[in-house]
Amino acid sequence: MKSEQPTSYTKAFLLSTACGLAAVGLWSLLSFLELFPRSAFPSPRSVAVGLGEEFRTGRLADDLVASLFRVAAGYTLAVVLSIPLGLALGHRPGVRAALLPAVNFFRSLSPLAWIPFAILWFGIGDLPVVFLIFMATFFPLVLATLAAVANVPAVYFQVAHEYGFRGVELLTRITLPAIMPQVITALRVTGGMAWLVLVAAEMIAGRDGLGFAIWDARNGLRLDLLVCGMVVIGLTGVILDWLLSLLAKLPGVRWGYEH
Amino acid sequence: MNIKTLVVRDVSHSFGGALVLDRITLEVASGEVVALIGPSGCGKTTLLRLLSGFYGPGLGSVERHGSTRMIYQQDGLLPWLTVAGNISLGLRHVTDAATRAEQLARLLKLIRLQGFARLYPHQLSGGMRQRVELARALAGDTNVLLMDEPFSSLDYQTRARMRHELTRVLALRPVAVVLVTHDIEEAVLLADRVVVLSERPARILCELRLDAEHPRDVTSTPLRAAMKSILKHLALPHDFDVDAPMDEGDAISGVEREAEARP
Repeated sequence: MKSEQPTSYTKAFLLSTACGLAAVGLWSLLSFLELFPRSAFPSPRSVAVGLGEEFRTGRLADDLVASLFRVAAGYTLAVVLSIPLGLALGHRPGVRAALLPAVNFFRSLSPLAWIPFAILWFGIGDLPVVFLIFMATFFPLVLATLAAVANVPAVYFQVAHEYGFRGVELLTRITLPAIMPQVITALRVTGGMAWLVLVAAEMIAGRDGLGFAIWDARNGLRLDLLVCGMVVIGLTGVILDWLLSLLAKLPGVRWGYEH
Repeated sequence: MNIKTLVVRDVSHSFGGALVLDRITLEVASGEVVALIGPSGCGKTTLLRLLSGFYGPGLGSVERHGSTRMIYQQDGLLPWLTVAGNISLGLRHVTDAATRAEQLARLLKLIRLQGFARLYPHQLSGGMRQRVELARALAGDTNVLLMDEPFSSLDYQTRARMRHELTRVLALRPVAVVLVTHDIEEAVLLADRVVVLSERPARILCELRLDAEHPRDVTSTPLRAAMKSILKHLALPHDFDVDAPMDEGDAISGVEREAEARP
């Protein structure tokens, strides 16, 4: 049987471009056939025109920068705080017994349920959105780190014990490298979640940003601009995920993806 | 071979009130390979962990003269470190960088993987990974090497090559070796002594001394006789037809130090 060859970058690029063009073609066809009213189903052309208009006015760039700043702030805060807590939960049965039920409780809550409190506590603007992104990503990251620690093969700790790794050195030279592939996968998943929550949060608690732009376009019945916002969010999400996927190519973590 | 590097005296150990090891006494000299063989779950790995100092014995004593290293049943290489990084774990105490580099080069030469220092474990074959584990375990001032079914995950051909490789490396770098294995063929091919353990709680059923030269032939009469004897002590069915009468004074000597009757 002929073995499957790994897809080259060029081939992958061509395939994904072809799929994208096919999707735009289908969109054009549906728009041309007018299966839905023109006012409720903007054509690719009207969206492209709207995109150009948004670029020229500079509004799109401003919204994109505002959204990226909020994601960066909320998500970075979640990463910085969740990984140490996940490590503590993974290593200390006492901490796990005390905090795991609470982590599971908050993990089960939709981050959107926090919107009223976010507005009451932080008003309208950057802070409530940062808060909501933090709440959406912190708890899943804690659990992912905990699961990664629990999955570290016991033999690594036996080796560590045998070669005299203790305390901080055990953490930095054994535990962290051992969990890194799983943590990077969790970072990619929660990075996507951060981007999802951003839109909903900005729609309600923002005065600018891509989510707000979508809401504003909806209020003005400019569905072409609404789709512009969707396209930019989707493309930015793909780029951010690609950037996070580069972490998996680091020499010290590639082993986790070589099965 | 007279200096006893590892001395185990009357060691008993229990887990949760259940006796796992029952008065084990064992001495291993530098340059000697002792194979522990016994039924699955009899306590071989527990004994090995006691020998390594991972935990202390419930009763009795374990004396280790020099440092002890272990080769594990599972892949014990740290996958985020290169071959050089893994072997260097065993050289952590060497503070001088030039000396460390020189010792690393010597170990890579010993296991014949000079060109592989920068590769990661997942880029190596199973046999190569085992050789790197062996080099890491022998790095520095190791005097006792404990091996817990080290070749059990390898295919037959790689296992055969690794046995040969282990014999070659140990001839160049003699240490006291305790090898836990479930493979009787492996035990008689590698060991100077084979210790047969009973079912749990493990006690010593018998010891066989094997004096045959390396490389050994598993089809030779002395080795077949040894295998038959081990199978007999483990009460396992066997169909060995050892044509020539066993010459206990030649290849196998001091066969069967029967365990004393336990009350």
